[in-house]
Amino acid sequence: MTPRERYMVAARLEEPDQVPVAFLRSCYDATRIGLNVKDYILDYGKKLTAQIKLHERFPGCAFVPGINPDFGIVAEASAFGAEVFYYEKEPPMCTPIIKNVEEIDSIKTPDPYRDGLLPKVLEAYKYLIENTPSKYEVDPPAIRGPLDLATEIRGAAQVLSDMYRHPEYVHKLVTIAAQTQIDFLKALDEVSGGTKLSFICDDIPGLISPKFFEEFGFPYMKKIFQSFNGKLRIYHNCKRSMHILERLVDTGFQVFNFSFENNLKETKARLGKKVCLWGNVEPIGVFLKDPKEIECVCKEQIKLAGPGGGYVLSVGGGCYGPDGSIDSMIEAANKYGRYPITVD
Amino acid sequence: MQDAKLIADLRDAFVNIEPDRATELLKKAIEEDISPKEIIEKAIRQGADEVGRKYEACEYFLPELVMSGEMMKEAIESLKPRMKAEGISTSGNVIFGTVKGDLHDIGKNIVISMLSVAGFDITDLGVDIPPERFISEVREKKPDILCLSSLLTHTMPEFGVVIAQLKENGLRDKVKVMVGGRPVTKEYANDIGADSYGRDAYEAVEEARKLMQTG
Repeated sequence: MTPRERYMVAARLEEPDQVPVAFLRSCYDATRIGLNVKDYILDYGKKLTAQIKLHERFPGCAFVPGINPDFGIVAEASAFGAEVFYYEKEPPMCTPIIKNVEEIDSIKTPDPYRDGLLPKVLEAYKYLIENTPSKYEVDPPAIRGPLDLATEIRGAAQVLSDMYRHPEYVHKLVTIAAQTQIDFLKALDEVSGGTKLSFICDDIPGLISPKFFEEFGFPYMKKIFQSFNGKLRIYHNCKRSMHILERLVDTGFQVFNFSFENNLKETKARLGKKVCLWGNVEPIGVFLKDPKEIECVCKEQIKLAGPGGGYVLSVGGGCYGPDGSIDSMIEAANKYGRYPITVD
Repeated sequence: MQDAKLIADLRDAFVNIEPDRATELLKKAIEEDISPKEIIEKAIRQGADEVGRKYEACEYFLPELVMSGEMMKEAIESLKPRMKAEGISTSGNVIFGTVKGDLHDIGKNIVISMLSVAGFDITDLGVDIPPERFISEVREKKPDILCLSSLLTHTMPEFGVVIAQLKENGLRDKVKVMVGGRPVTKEYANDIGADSYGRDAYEAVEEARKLMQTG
């Protein structure tokens, strides 16, 4: 099995030949080969080269999304008029555009074929579909969830205090954000002739109470995932989310990429029969350190979450790490992750 | 006794995140001539401690922390004229900013709220601040503490750049440097030569107080 095939089997809550290893792709593909991140973002040929090089360097693991029109986290916010700042070695960023809460009244849902960087993402997607060697999967990019996008265009602290001061405006903003993402995903579907997956990243649900998640998060996430029934639906949240685990899953995703701050044993016990778990080695304290320690931690992760299938080994937050750390994780999966799992 | 009840109600309004009620009770406390020192000590700081306890116990989450911080910061602002008139000094002067290449501000804003509640006078430089700006602000404003924030692992090295430039400009021994942000560890802070590190907003306040004591 290829790493991608293993990932897809695990996503169906089944056992592949061994526990898959997969990483969330990011703009750091560029810096790994000495590319300027702005060039990686805007030059589709360089983007493709960088992503393929990562596959070639690490044939033992999958990158999800696969080859994709990665524009970092700024594309959707740019469609609302947010200015994008590019950096040489860092992902692009943008600053909020809504200063006063009343301005939300005049915000319109962007057109993915016209506004901000979204048409460029669609153009890049077409380019990648046409130019990627057939042995690689081309996917749509991971997109921002409704609360993440709301905080990007209004500011995180402002959205969080608006939940108390102006809840009606938070609803307005998140409604527009969710519709933006549905329209964007549909456009990606149209230009590709049918995408295989929908990948939503939203950290904010991990930062808010169950009550606020029910009010400002759940209905909007559910609306997005319901719009893409029939595709593989993946959700990433790199904040602790133990307080809303079951309700998160009720929004309708099938693969959960989750934080190292979640207890793996408890997460497996509560969600293991419902969704595929993808994570969650501590990304800084462990993954950037001693390869031997990485092997021990990965062994324990496999022991806790591997049996029965539906598990993908990875870091829990962040993206990759040094080459040696990735190699150690792949080796650990090869050594301890063969099904049936027999780790002591 | 009536004053004590008013102060307790005000503290509860902060803890229970009731902004309108807190505004009303604060106005009443000022009208009844309760000293700003008492309001700050017994309503605002005790309220902040209780909010922190609830956050640690996962009873409260980030919106509660942000909102209570905003409420308390606004209360302190409205008390400032009387504090000045009564000669109540601040706990110390702080310059705060998120380092170059990093546009995150939520953690910074929470720490600023908590430091304000603790009586520190803060200059918030904002986000994506180049080292040269930190240097010029330190030279001009002569703060007690320079707080540097970063949420991204690849912007953390900017801490070291700022500290090196403080040294080059003969300012390192004139200001204490505290660093923080989600990926930052105490070990990292030590390695780059920072004076202090705050794991979260509450620890940052404690560390700032300690820095002021060490002089």
